[in-house]
This record gives sequence, C-alpha cells and structure tokens, in this order.
Amino acid sequence: MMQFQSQTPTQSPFTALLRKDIRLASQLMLPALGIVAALAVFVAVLPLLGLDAMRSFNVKQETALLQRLEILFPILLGMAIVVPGWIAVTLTFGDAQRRGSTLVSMLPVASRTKWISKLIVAIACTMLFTAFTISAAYANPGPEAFIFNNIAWALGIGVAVQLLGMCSGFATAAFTRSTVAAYVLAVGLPIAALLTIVALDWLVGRSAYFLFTTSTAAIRVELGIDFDESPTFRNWVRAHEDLRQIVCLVTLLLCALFCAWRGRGRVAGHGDSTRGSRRTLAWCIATILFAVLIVNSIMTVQISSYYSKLTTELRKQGEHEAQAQLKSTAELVDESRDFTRQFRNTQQCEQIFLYDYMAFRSTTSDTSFHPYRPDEPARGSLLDYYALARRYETRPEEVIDAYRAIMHDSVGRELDQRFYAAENIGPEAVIAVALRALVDAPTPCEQLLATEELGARIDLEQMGLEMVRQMAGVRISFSDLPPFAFRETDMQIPTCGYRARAIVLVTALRRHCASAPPRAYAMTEALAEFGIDDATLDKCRAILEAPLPVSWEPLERKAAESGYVVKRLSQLKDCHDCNGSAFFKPAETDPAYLIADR
Amino acid sequence: MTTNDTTTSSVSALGLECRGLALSFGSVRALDGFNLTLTAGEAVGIVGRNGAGKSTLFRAIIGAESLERGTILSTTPTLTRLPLLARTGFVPDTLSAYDWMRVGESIAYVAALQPNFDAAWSRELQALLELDLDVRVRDLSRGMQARLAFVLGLSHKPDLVLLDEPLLGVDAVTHDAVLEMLARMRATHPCTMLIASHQLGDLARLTDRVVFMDRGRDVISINTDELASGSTRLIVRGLSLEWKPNFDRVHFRRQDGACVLTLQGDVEPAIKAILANEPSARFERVALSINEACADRLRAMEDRS
Repeated sequence: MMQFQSQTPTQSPFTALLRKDIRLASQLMLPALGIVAALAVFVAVLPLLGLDAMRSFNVKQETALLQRLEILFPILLGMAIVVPGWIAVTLTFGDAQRRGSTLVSMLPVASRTKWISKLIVAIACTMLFTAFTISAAYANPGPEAFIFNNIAWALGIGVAVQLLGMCSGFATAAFTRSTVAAYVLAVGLPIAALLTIVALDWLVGRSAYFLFTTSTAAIRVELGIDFDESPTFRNWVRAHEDLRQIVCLVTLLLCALFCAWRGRGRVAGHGDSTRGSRRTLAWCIATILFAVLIVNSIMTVQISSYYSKLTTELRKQGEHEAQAQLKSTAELVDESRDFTRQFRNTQQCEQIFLYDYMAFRSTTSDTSFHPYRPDEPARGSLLDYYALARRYETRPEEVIDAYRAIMHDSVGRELDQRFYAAENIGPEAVIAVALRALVDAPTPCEQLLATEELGARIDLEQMGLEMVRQMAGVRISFSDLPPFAFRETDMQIPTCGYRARAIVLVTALRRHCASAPPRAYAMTEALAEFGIDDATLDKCRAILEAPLPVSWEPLERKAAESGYVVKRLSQLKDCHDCNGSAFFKPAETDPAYLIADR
Repeated sequence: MTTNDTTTSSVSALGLECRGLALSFGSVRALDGFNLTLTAGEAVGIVGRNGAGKSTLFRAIIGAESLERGTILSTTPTLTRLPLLARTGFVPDTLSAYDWMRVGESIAYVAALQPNFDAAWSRELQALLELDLDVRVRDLSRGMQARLAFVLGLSHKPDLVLLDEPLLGVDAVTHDAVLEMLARMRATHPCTMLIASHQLGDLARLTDRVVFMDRGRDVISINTDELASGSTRLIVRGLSLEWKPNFDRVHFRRQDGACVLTLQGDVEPAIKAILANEPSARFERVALSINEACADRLRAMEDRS
C-alpha cells in the first residue's frame, strides 16, 4: 500500500498545480509523442523496407538516420501548429473533464495562479513540438537553409501562429461550456479557415484565369503575368501575393466576426475574474485580427491599380493593332526585328575575342567587354512582334519573303541581323548563311561569327552518345560519322571550341549533303539557295583550318585598361594561332577531319 | 500566490449573507432573487425539489458560478473570496477529485493548496470513514466517493461548512458515523453549517432551522423543532368547491375531490371551524412523518406558485 499517512503539505501550491496541469496535458501529449516516436521508428527502419520504399519518400540509400528525419518535417510542422490550440483547450477544460473543476473552485487559489500554471505547461508543450520541427527542418540542411532571414521569418511566423492558436484555445471557454464544443472549435476553426482560404483562393484564381484568357500574349508579358510553365490559375495567384492577402483578409474578418458574435454572451461556470479575462482575451484576438484586416486592406489598394493597368494595356494594344494593319509586311518585319536582342558589332572584332579571355574568369560585370553594338539599342516592341505574328497567320508567305530578303542582303544588313532573319526561316538557312559568310567574309569578325554559328549547331555535351541528333535539319547520327576526339584544353576556349565543331559540321555536310541524299532535302535546298556546293564546302574547310586573323595588340591593350591580367594569354594565342586539324587527337580521329592527311 | 492572507487559523464560526442572488442557465432561472442569512454558528438546512437551485446556490457561494445579480458576503468578519474559501469546507453531492489520482494523492493535493489543512484532523476523518488511500478515485464506489468528498472538504476544520446532499449512496453505518462526526465537529469546533438534503431526518438531527426553496427562491424558513413536531394530514370530504381554509398554520390542496389539509399541532380547532360552516364534512386523519410533512409543504408551495 502506498504511504499517504501524512498529508501535510510536502509540495508548494504552485508545484501541485503544475503537476496537475502536466498530468492534464499528458492526455494529449502522450498520444502525440507516441505518433512522433512511431514515425521516427518508421524512418529508422525505412532502409529495411527496400529501395522502392526509400525512393517513394525521396530518401537516398546513403542518407544517415538523423538526416532521414527530414521527411517528418511536414507532419511535425502540422502538429506544431495544431498542438498549442489543443493543449490550451485540454488545459482549460481538463479540470472539468477529469472531474476536478469543483475541487479547483473550492480551494483558495487565485485564478491568476491557476492560469499561469496552465500557460507554463502550454508553452512548454508548444516548445517541445517546435523543437522537434526545427530539428527535422535542419536535420539535412541545404546551403540556403541557414540564411538568417529565413530562420527569423520562419520562427517569427511559426511562433505567431502558435500563439494565436494557444490564445484561441484558452478563449474557447468564453464561448462554450462544452468540452466537445471547445475541441470542435479548436479543430474546426483552423479547418474552416483553411477551407475558406482554399475556396476564396480558387475563386480569385478563377477570376484571374478568366482575365488571363481574355488578354493577349503581349499583355501577359508586358504585365509579367505568367501561366506558361503550368497553365493553371494557381501559378498566377502564386505570382501575385497581393491577391493572396485579400483571401487572408476575408478569412481573418470571418474569424473576427465569429469571435465577436460568440463573445457577446455571458460565461457561466466561472468566476467573474476568469470570465472577464477570457472575454478580454477573446476580444484581444478579435481586435488583433481586425487591425490586421485594416492594414491588409490598405496594402491591397494596389489591386485596383493593377486592373486599371490591365485596361490601359488592352486599349493600347487595340490601337497599336489597328495601326499595324496599315503597315507593309517588310515594315513590320523590320520594326519587330527583335525587341530584346542586341546585335553584335562586327566592326569591333577584338571584343568578340574577349569572350575567350573572359571564359577564364568566373564572373564579369564589365559591360564594356560585351561585344554588342552600342549604337543600336533593342528596338521594336512586343506589340509589333505580336502584330507580325497575326500577319503570319493570314499571309505567311509575305513574312517569309521579308525575312528572306534580309537574310540575302549582305550589303545593307549586318551579318548578325541576317542570322536572326535566317533563324525565323529555319536552322538550314542559318547554316547556309554562315557557310556563305565564311567564304565571302570581308572581315575577321564576320568570319568568327560565321564559325560560331556553325559550331553552335553541334551539341558537344551529346558527343559520344549513341543517338540520332537533329542537326540542322539533317538527321545525322554521330554513330554514322567517322570517329573523332578533341583536345580537351582547346575546348575550354569558346572560340576554339566553336571552330573545332564547325569543322565536324562541314565534314558531315560534305559527306551527307553535297551528294544530296533524299533525307537531307531541306539542307540541300538551303545550300543550293546560297550556291554552296562541294567546292564551297572544301573552301570553308580550308578557311576553318587556317589560324584566325586575330590582332592581339588591341586585345592586350583593352585588357590592360580594364585592369585585368591575362594569365593564360599564351594559351589563347596558341589556340587561335594553330591549324584546325590540331584541335583533334590524331590517334582517335578519322583522317576525314584532318587537312594534312587529305 | 495568494495564500498569505489565508493562513490565519480560524477561531470562530463565520456568518454568511446572501442577498438577491440571481443566475440563469439559458432560459432556466436557477436562482431568482434568493435571500439567506446565516448567523455565525447556526446550522441551516435547505429543502427543495430537484432543480430548485440548491446545488447552484452552493456553487455560487464558493465562486464556481458567476452571479448575474446579488451579493454573497461573509459576516463576522467580512472576508474577500480567497480568505473565505480558506475557511469554507464544501462537500458536493458528487465527488470532485481528479480521476487519475489515488485517494492519498487527492488528499495530498488538497493539503498543498489548502493553507488551513489540519493533518491530524484529516487522519482522524480518514480513519473514521475507513478510506483506502491506495485506491484510484475512478475506482471508488459511490459510497466511498462520498466519504472521500467529506475528507477533501472538511480536512481543514472549516468555519463555514457547506454540505450538498453529502450522504447519497452512503451505507447506514457510515451514514450514522458521518452524522456523529459532524455533530462532534460542530461541538468541538464552532462552525456555521448549510446543508442541503432530501433526508429530513438528517436535517432535523443537525440543523436549527430549514429553509424551503422553490425555483430559485427562498419561500419559507421554519425552525427544525417545529418541523419535526407532529404534523397531521386531514382529508376532508363533502366540502364545496369554493371552500378555502380561513385559519393559520395550514397547507391546503385538493386531491380526488377531497380537500387535503396539512396542519401542525392540534387539529381540533381546525375541525371545529370547518364543521361550523360545512356540517356534512367528513374527516380522515393521517399522522405524518417529517418527510411526508415536508413533501406536503413542497406540493403546496408548487400549487401556490
């Protein structure tokens, strides 16, 4: 028999209250901790369930046990959000639920003392689950996880949500005498709030999607509206947090109204001071929610400006389209040439070579090294481009002819502009323009641009794979090509890499297209359009074999002016000054690629 | 903590004054202008039908229910709520103790929170009531629960004792022992008692007077001696429907065509008075126990209201 022979006080009153409240809380905490423990055991034995099970939880085989706990994060986060409210309800109604309410009332203990004890226990339980959640979140941290702002925001928001839940839980006693009703409130309110958010989110999203579908592509881009990745309204809502605030506002308003409505009644079963403090607590929550509502309302005024902007853009587009219909196709093509692209300046060759120099640097922010035409800013607009697209829908031949005219205009147009026009016709046209430019190139820069265009048609990353590549419209399998291997050091320099790959492309065209097999019809036609035959291809190969006509003096001067030190200048010079055949490893390369052996 | 002002040992009984107590649960008015004055050292019984508001009255006195109107003040001396609770012992009709605790733990819990807890007196009570300290509260029988309620409520030798149907489910032997204990406690430790019970015999044994309560109101207060002295039920037939008694100290109602009169003391003057007006009246006398007398009073109260 246990010894309770002397009931003289052996513990302080507050300790007795704390022990009692801990025991009350345990009826909720023990099952919750049991769930956590069961999940932890599951995570521990996950490897025993096989690779498929691990893969289904996105866990790698080599992941350590502590790091695997990361997969519990969503569950622990949910529990950390829900537990404060439930614990508060359990502690508030626990005395009555466990038949001790009258005993509490008949003992001479101040209400304040009783509630401090309950608050301490509630906070301790909350912190326990918060600690679990944080531990799970940082069990396997990425490099971005330890950014202070992220941690501060996450903790701040988390603690705010938990405090709100706890206050709501304690305040439920102001609204109901029934324990069941209190739990329903503590569980039902967050669920109702969540459902409201989802429902309103859906409604707002549907409205947004309706607007999106009625607007044109031009307006979508102008306004930064993006449904492209996944054409659902949720993407749009995600991108526009201001609308999300409206949803939150309505939810908070509903909560506040609920508090106000339920808080108006008297609270039976509790003393005046208890009733008063609970009602005060309930009103505090309602007031905070209302204040948040006001602040958010002010913040969401910008929504109206968004819609007025949309209306303005719609009107602007309508007027622009009417004017665009009056223009000739050539004018439209010229004006919509590219509203974002900057064309490279073929008169300042050394800047193109600086790309090679910059390839040795991790980053550069010196825009003076960018080889674009400073005198030609981006021109045209998306509305012009959109008008041209509309013209293409009705009269495609006119648009193609306009582009073709630019593509062939070797006198009035820069080479880069001709490449852009060729791209709008097809990749075969780009190759044909590049081959013709390579043969006819009046300047070293144009020769370099043409080489770059040719080299860019081959994806080095896919080299060596047994796969068929769509190479400039000609279905050529690398496995059909004679074997070759590049010197790796040269491939680190972009210009040399393009030159080496251009040699491969010209060799492939020489073997497959010049003889005009049926499957290479489009390419053959393009080559014929620019008068490129086997002799021209041989000439191109010979040009690619010769060292690039680089003048190193301006390059070195430019580098010195900018304060850069060209540590590997000798390597650059070696690369540019060598013959094209030298880019290949002779032992692993078919002689077809090598001039010296032909 | 608030125990500093509550640790003073009690030296005398407390008086209590309830004025105009009003409290509703929804549409039900549990207390409706209830008034009661307990002088220090007095023992008062509360009698009323189920739902009359007796338990609510007790809960209001200890502060477990919040009043809509009215005041509850201790007199001689005037105390605020916590000091009053420190000198008040309450035994509810249903045991209030945490169900997971053992009996001994429950008593220890009260000992920690009750500054006037008297360990020696508590042990005496435990021995008298034969409590098994190792049993969990949830496993106690109805009778044992009542015994524990006595220990929890009275272990600090309160100056004001509130007993709300305290002996429900208690066996006859324990019943007698508890009444004995209460009488002894009152004799050795002057205290004021307020007892609600349907057992009028108990009230007659313990209290000085009885207050009848109906629908939250105090209706009448009668000295216990008077209540216990012989009451007679007089069933009178042959009276006209319009007849009503015109003499004092009688409760009157009609039943199955007859008039039922409950009278205290000598019934002959009442019979003579009736025969003077209605010579054909026929009488039947029934001697009443105190319980029957109370029941008749309660019925009469209902009829009047």
